[in-house]
Amino acid sequence: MIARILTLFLVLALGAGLAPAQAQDGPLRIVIDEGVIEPLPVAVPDFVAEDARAADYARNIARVVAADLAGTGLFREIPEEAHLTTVTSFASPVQFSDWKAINAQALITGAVGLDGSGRLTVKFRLFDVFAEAPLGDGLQFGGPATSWRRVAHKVADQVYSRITGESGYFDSRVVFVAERGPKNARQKRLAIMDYDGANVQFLTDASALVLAPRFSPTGDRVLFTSYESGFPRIYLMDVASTRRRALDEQSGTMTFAPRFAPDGQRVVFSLSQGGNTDIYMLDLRSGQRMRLTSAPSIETAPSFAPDGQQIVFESDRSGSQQLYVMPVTGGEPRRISFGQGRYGTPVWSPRGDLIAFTKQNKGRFHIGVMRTDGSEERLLTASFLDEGPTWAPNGRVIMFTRETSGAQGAPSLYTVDITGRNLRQVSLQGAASDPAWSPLLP
Amino acid sequence: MRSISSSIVIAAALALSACSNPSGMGWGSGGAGGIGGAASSDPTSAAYFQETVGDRVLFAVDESTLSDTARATLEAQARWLMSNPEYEAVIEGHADEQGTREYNLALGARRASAVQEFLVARGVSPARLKTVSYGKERPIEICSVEACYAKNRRAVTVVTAGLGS
Amino acid sequence: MRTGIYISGAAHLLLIAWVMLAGLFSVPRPAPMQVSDVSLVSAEDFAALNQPAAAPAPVDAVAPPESPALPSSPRPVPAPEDRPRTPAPPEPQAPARPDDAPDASGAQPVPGTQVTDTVTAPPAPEVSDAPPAPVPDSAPPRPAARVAPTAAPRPPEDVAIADLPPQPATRPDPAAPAEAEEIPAAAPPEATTEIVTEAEERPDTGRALASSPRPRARPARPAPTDTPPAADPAPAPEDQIADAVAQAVGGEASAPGSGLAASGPPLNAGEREGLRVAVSRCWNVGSLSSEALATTVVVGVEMEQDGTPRPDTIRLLSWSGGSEDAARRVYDSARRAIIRCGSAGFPLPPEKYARWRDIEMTFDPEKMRTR
Repeated sequence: MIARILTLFLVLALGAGLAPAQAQDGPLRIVIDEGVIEPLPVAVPDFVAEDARAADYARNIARVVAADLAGTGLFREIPEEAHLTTVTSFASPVQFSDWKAINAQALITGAVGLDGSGRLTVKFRLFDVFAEAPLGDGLQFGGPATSWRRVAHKVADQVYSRITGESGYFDSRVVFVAERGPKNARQKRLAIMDYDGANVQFLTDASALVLAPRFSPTGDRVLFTSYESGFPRIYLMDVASTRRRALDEQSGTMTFAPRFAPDGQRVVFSLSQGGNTDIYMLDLRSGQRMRLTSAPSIETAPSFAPDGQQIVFESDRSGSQQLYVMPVTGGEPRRISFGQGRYGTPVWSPRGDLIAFTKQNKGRFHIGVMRTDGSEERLLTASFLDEGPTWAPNGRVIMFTRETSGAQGAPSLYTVDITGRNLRQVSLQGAASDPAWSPLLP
Repeated sequence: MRSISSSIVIAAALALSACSNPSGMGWGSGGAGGIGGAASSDPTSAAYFQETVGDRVLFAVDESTLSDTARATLEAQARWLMSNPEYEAVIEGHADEQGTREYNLALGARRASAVQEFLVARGVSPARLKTVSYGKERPIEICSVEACYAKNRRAVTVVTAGLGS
Repeated sequence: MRTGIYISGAAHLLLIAWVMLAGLFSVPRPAPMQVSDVSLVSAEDFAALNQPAAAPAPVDAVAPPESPALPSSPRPVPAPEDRPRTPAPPEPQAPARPDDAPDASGAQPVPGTQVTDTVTAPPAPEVSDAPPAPVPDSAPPRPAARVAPTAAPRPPEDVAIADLPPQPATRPDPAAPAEAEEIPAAAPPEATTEIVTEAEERPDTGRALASSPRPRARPARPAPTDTPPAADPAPAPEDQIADAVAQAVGGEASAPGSGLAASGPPLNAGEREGLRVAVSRCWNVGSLSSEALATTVVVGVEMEQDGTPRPDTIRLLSWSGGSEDAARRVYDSARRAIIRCGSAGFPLPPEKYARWRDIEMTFDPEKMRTR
């Protein structure tokens, strides 16, 4: 017996040496380490209207869901014309074969009801067509009919999350600067929109130059820079009421580039005095101001890590614009960017793992991402002028400003996946710049 | 502040970029028009300062140091300001569009400050001088080549007869 | 003397050829995986190793299938309703944002007009490109109080969310007793598990035994032995032992003498490669999160004799690298790949069915992460 066991070990050892990869016995084992990267074909037939008045909503909610998903580049909608069947009842079993035949790999069905008080009820289910299985449970959303787009975004967020494994970002908003007029007399106003460019509303008029709004962690307040006093100053605005107040009004100084701390109670910003720009932190409750850097160089564009412990910013202390990380207490900064060119506008991702930035190299601008220690730098875009990245709430997508060159040059908003794929212009009328993405809405 | 500007030619004030409030877009938009041409013959006018003395200095890429040409212009500005004490000035710092927004704001602040320091060193009271940076927000030339960029990298001294003295 | 040299030489040549072939086509496994423990060889099993594997036991003698006790498998049983994960619906919440803009309701889209436009923003005349010809210097003094030209944007209304009651039937064939699949004792009714597509009509007789579920193998380290690709009429004794050992290690030996070792030669490298390529072609990782792309899953599947997978047998055996949620997403994508590309049958040699009746596929998306 012992001899046999020894033999067994011997054989095992021998076998391990000879065939480390695979064995034939027992189940057949194979390793699949290559696949394809394609958008997932998804069918979003019109939702079922449970009430005649809900017909428009039923159709348009399905359209928005499909547009949300297709807009990520991770999904491809199978157009309605190709569908072999229509869904007429939310409760009826799904005819999977009809969807398999057109290679729909995911199927979303839904139903919309509208009651007398104008309240929408939207139900949906998500199916893995080839597995003939639901992905997650059906869900029902209710809300006023006027917010039907939000309901659609909620549905799309659920679908996105169930298929990709990360949270969605569709039910979110973007605050930005709407621009108009020629390049040498540009008017700028704060505006807010749904993430997809719908529902644009203005937060300020055009009487004063405004720059670079930033959302609070709860999405209900906005920091921005305005010249309404004649000098750039940071302001805090309540989005719902558009009431605003100046945060730091020291004569002889300029303040700009504000950003919230993750606690929503502190603000980091740049203050210029006597030609020198440094980073400060302001406690919104106490009004107390603390200086975080004091170098004769330019220190600006601070951004908090989501854990609130560190701040990434740009500085030209080395002789050119580079990125640095320092403790929130203002300790010694550590340079993290070492590639060719200049780096600016760093923004910590909401996941905490990456920093997005603007890079200038050889006359071109890029949006890029790097690990928080500066490693694995990856450029996602290239153009005459790309700048000002902002993260989608799930840390998967970046929105930024792209400005075209020349006398007719104008900015517009673009999104790009952090893989560098799926570069898209946000559908907006008119020029726009300086986007800032809100957190997911409640 | 605006109401007491009786000593200057109002038409010129309207035509030229001499608003006392920088947010009123006084970003030095080139030369004076026909009316201003007449006014600029008055050596105590803002138009004269702008056209004859020279209201702006230019900078090299990503620089805020003053060239010899710039120093000569600023010497003249200082003399004019010393002999026209009723004026105060806002020095606007600007950058070209090749740069990120925040950095260019800081760079414009450096340029404005460089001018301010020079003028103060020549005897102009700091109380008469304010600085503001527009970064790349207010170009005067709108093409996207160096010829335009060179003119946009500037510090403009905008004088206003604002002092009641 | 010479005979010994010849034998030795031939054996070495065979060995070299085999090593070369295997080395050419097999892909080295990446980092070690979090595979569950390898089954120990029991005395009984060990004894079985030494039996001639000539007497295949009746398949239905096999113990009833047991889903692997892996908490990871989202589908321990094939019934789709039993997915363990129940996404907690967001709680209907009180508005988290101040709601003090009573006049803002007008800012919301009017259903009749806006619903036709899903993407573009509502026309905002203020943003039109008409040059406004502003005369900067003549800007009048600002009025004391500025009023934003549009109403305050209305804070988005909350959306109440509720769970739906479970759907009564999601299967295409309501008559199909989906519950019966929970314990497919020996021969699950075919109709419950597979949609017969137009692509193929399958015989549904004589397959019950062949397709009966087998005891799940523990996800095991690949047994480090193999037999030469050429079916040698007189295999070296080591090979027999190796075969048996691998079988035991693979967990198949729980049915003594189930006969796999004697059911024909193993798949050669080309045949394995054919399968690998076929699955790869359908494995779409394009919609996976970056975390999921760092997650490797091992998926088990049982095959029909015609080379098609049995969808109800596809299961997640183990994973490594990412969270359970990420593993589920990768598993979903793997399942889609197996079902879609297997619907017409994978290119597998029918005579070696016993060799590929059970397949464990390791899906490792690592390479696709940076593509």
